[in-house]
Amino acid sequence: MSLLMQNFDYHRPTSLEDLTVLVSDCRKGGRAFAFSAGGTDIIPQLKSDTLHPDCLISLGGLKDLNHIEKRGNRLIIGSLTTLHDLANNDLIRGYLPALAHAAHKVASPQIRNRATIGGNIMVDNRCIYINQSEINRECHAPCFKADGDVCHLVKSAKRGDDILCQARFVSDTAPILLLLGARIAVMGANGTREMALNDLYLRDGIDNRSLEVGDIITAIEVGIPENDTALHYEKLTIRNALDFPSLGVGVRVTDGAVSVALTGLNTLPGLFHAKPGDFDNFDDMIDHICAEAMDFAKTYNQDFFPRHYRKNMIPVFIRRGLDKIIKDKS
Amino acid sequence: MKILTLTINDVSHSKAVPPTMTLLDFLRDEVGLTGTKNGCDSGECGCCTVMVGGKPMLSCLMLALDAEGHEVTTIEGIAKGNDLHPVQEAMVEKGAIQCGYCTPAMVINGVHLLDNNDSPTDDEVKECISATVCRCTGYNSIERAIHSAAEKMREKQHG
Ligand SMILES: Cc1cc2nc3c(=O)[nH]c(=O)nc-3n(C[C@H](O)[C@H](O)[C@H](O)COP(=O)(O)OP(=O)(O)OC[C@H]3O[C@@H](n4cnc5c(N)ncnc54)[C@H](O)[C@@H]3O)c2cc1C
Ligand code: SF4
Ligand code: FES
Ligand code: FES
Repeated sequence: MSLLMQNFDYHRPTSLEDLTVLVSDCRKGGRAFAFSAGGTDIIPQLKSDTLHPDCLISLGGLKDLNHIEKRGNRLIIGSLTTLHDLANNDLIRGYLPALAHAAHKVASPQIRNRATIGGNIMVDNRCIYINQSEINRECHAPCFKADGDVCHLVKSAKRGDDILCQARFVSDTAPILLLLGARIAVMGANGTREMALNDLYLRDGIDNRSLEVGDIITAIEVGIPENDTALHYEKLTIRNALDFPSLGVGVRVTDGAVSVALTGLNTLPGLFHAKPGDFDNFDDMIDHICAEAMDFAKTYNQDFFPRHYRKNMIPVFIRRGLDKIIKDKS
Repeated sequence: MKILTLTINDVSHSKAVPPTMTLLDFLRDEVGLTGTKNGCDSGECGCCTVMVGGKPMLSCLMLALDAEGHEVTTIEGIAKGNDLHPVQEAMVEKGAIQCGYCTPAMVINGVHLLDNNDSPTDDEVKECISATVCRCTGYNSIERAIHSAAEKMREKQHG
């Protein structure tokens, strides 16, 4: 017998209309609900009892949200596309190879067969004190993220602080999507809207997404970069499979301008830009963007690698990404 | 409780299940197919791998109800009667089984790889078993077994 989940009702709508009705019924009845797409992030949370919805709404039946298509110079990725399909799709491999690579770096083959891109950009922030089994968590008082009153990572944290919880942002696909200027289509109680992916992310490890309760992401849209653009994603882990990024660095070069996106280093992703006109030379520009990225990193000892090591690897990974891009071009 | 009808290894099963039941528990406790193992119950060990809709997935990270509409293949569905699948044969021949706890998952992963790629590279074989933990063999014998099974399957196909 396995870890028990607290009881919940289960629904699997097959159309967005049915989903809307379900969500509004739950709302009216005052019932807490949660969405599950591939479930690879949310099922562990249900098992470890850090999440206890009255109702679980599986998005798996929404077949219309599983597609990848090209419209003009943009690619539209349905939110239920699995990471395996994303990494192996001809359009993505052809136009956005760095995104295919980043998707391929997530978790493991079995997980990528099930996990979705929507779930990946929504994956919950992580911390060694919360992402444990219930039995292990019982060894210490519940922390803020478990509705308790302490933070074990930052002992001085208290309610009312600007940022209550330092759980890390860990999505592997977000950096490349952010560097591509991705936008997301969101369906909510008041219809559908579009927003920049960057606006999805908030600064607290607990309330870390800007969606309203009941909003779902239906698609992700990215522009196909011009020929003067190249991207690369590099991830630091102990093992080649299964590990969340101890740090993940995306680099974009467009006609001499450099952008960098980070995951695993703060409560939200980091995004930095530098263009040649603002600096005396290329090296100065890179030194500047490395310093900005290191400044942004808030590394705590909450990972296999010591915090200073993770921080010091940021410039190494940025330069490695640049080298890779320059090598591929020549 | 909800009624779940699932085709597992070509046999249809209908049972009432609570929404909280994982596919892993459904297979082991409801259907009695105990070949699929529970190692970690949290996505880390790969022991619970089964094929859902023809692709290896972790049955511990999946609700049984979420599998509805997909064919499920477990280790019990890999051999045809007494005829072992080439991957199973090769696992025996290459000494790739010690305690056997990881074996069902290793076989499922290997069968899926070879169904889609009859001449995998070393890296492809390594990646295919990269997320299935074996505490006994040290993996080399499992890699050799998958390569050997690939050879057997190529020979069978091309005579
Ligand atoms: C062992 C293990 C290793 C892992 N390694 C990595 C890793 O290396 N890198 C990484 O990035 N992740 C990793 N993960 C986490 C997870 O598997 C992935 O992030 C995955 O992409 C999540 O997708 P999903 O569809 O399974 O999400 P789900 O679990 O279904 O959902 C995750 C969250 O997103 C919400 N959600 C899902 N879809 C939508 C939508 N369309 N609209 C609105 N909200 C939505 C859900 O409500 C939930 O809160 C790992 C998980 C495990 C168990
Ligand atoms: S950082 Fe967040 S999850 Fe980690 S111990 Fe503090 S409150 Fe809990
Ligand atoms: S039991 Fe499912 S991965 Fe370990
Ligand atoms: S043979 Fe014992 S775990 Fe692999």
